[in-house]
Amino acid sequence: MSKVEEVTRILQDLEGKVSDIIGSAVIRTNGLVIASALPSEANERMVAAMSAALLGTSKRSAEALFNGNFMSLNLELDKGNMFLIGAGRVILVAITKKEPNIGLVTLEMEDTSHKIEDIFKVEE
Amino acid sequence: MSERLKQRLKQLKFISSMFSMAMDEFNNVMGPETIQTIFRLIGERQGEAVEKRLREKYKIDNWTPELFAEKVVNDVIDPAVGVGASEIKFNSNEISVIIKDCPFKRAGIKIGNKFYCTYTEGLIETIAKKALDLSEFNSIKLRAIDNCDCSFLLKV
Repeated sequence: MSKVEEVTRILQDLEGKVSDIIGSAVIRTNGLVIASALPSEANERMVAAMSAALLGTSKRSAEALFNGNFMSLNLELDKGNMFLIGAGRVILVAITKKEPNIGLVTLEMEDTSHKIEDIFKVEE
Repeated sequence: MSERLKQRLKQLKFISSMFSMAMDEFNNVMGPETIQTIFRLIGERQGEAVEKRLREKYKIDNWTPELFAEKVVNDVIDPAVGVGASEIKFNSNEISVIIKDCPFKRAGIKIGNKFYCTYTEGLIETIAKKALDLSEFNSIKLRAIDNCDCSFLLKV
């Protein structure tokens, strides 16, 4: 199984476990899509580009405010939420319905991000 | 050099310096990921437009790796970096694009942050995707990380 197939299956598992998640994707920090399970109406390329931009701005905010590191982002919108979490060299993104179960979404995303991080770990 | 050209050169240097300062501030506020993403998108959009322009200009029905090499070097890379500063090599199903100069570096702009590399990557990858049956694209070497040239490997 290729890495992309493996990640796609992990994303499908995540969406299966958390019904609030309506789409997810794994992207590179330069905004390129690696794998996605986004709804058909979503513009995959733009979701990925905006996720990378949000990550960049969040990382700068973490540095400027607390001299800290980016962990995750929950962007609350009127029609749903967007979650971003670092997964080593890539980012895991999830789009949810309005007023999702934030605890469950973040918990499952953390677990999923560890699995994805392992897949893309640089082999020594 | 005429006074008019000297004046024009001064203006271009001023614009280049403003551009460089703007990029530094964008980077400070939004982070390199944001800027790289934007440059990548510009490269992709340009790549789509360039492939269409070349296809129409030279009435190309079917791209071949040789046509791709000739047109990309003559019409895309040479005008940006100068004649003779690029090379395209073939090896079975692999195409290597080598660029030996960087117009951004020559303009005195810092290139270590790889912003401009993501533009070039997006441009070449998109032209190749549109023109050829591209299966893989990799940046092998980049001047931004202290190499003497940029080298991109395309598998078709």
